[in-house]
Amino acid sequence: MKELTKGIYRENPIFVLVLGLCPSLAVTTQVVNGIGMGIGTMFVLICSNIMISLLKNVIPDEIHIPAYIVVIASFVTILDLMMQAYLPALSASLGVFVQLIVVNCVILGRAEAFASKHGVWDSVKDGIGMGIGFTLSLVLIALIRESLGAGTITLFPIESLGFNGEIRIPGLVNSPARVMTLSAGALLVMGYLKAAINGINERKGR
Amino acid sequence: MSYIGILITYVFISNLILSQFLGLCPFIGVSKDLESASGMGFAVTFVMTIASLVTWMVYHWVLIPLNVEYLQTVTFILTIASLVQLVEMVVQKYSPALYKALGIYLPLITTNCGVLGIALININQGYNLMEGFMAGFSAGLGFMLALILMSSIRVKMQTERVPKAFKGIPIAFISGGLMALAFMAFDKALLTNLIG
Amino acid sequence: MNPILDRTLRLAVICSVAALLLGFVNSLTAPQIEQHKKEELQRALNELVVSGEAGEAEALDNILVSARYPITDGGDLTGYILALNGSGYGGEMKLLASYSLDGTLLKAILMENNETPGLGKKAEKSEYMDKFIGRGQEGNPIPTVKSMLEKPDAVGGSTITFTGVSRALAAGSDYIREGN
Repeated sequence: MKELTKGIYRENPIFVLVLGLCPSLAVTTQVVNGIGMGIGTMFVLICSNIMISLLKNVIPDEIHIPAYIVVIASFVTILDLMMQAYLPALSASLGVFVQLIVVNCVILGRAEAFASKHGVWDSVKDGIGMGIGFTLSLVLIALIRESLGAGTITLFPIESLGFNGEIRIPGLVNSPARVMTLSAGALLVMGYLKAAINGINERKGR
Repeated sequence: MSYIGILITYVFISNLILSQFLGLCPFIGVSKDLESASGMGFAVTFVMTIASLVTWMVYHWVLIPLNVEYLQTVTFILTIASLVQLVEMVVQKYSPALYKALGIYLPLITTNCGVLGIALININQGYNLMEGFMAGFSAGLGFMLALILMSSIRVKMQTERVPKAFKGIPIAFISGGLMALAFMAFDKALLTNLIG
Repeated sequence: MNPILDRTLRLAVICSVAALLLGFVNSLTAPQIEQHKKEELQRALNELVVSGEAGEAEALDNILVSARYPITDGGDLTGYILALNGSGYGGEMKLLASYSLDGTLLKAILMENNETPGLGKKAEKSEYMDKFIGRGQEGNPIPTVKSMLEKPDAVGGSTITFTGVSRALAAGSDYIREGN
């Protein structure tokens, strides 16, 4: 249980470990992109954790980095092809960042720090936990950036309910602070969130 | 696009860190002082330039003839990883002084998304070999510029009074955000006005 | 065994297994991806034709206009759909636009772009193109700077996206008028 929940807050990959920043800031202009990217990363994280913990006795220490990279890159390519084939709209809006999951330090970091030292089952749980933590953080950042920057919250459209996937926030939608959707806004949001988490931890520690 | 256009685009307008979100980890992690920032900047520029050339050749001369473009991600990252290793060995052998300066940063570059990012951008934009080379070099320069500016800000920050919760990483992000805001002044219109 | 040879072999085995697996996945997904691209193009073409039907693509040797699809209505040529290349903030943008024979823009769709998600994406909304539609004939050019619009404030999105889209559309209009 501990392996599953640690990623959400105590060892949150983005806010506490400060890993995997590039995709988290680049794609979080819309909530739906954040969810897509989070789930994609979780898929690669779980698969690569399984493979690496299975292969940990076969891979000599000297070549572990290239070997891990090949494993991770293969799963990323599978994800990329699958997304292009079955979720073309999401794949188009995430763009080159799907391929860049390869260099997401969270994945290589977990392979190195966890999966190469633990059994398959623990590594799966670690992958799920970290993946959930990563996804939730992306959604949080995206929620702030999209609601302030565009005045909308974009989710998946549900046709049966006549919901087109976009919630418009009254007031904000007509005069959004567009800078929040740009890189400057992303860095500012990240800084304030990290400061808030530091503040909360400090208060708890006291 | 002319080479000067590519240079201006990747150093200022589409600066890797400040507008494309690539290579943020070292931007926050290795910008504590000027010396390490410039070391990392040089190392990244070097690797990006060579990696742009090599990945372009691999893609156009190996992957396309064999009709296996879907292996792009795997081959690029392997190429970059081995290139970094190679550069490390060559530098260690022929220039111990440079190795001492760059040494600890080189392994980190493999997982710098900037390097893979610019390699993929070169292919997506359909650049030719020389344009790809130029884009890699300029992106590296832009990376170095942002990193060095950031490190100067952070050195200054050490003597300033910063609220406790903001110390360290949060204030680095916020300064980065303000820098990105300033870089927004570089607009594609600049390019049109300068070189038409 | 020689340790270097041993490591090389192991790495080679991992790489070849990965390559085989990817080849397999690719063979499954490639037809699907191809299908999507075709469907998207067809949907765009159907949407662009106001009346009549679009013909086969003819590739063109032009930097800005990469292909044209003749529109015929009852056998008569009534206009063209052009595939246009514009440059935006994040690189190339591809547009499809239909024109009548005098160069008037009928409809336009943004096909692919790498613009900042959320920002340049505004250009993908159909209303965005409204301000260009119906212009482009002799004496009524497509606006390429915001000040040429009646209500410049109403333009959302970045200037760069606007410039990229409008210049491409204007180039298409020029192409049609020069060609006829």
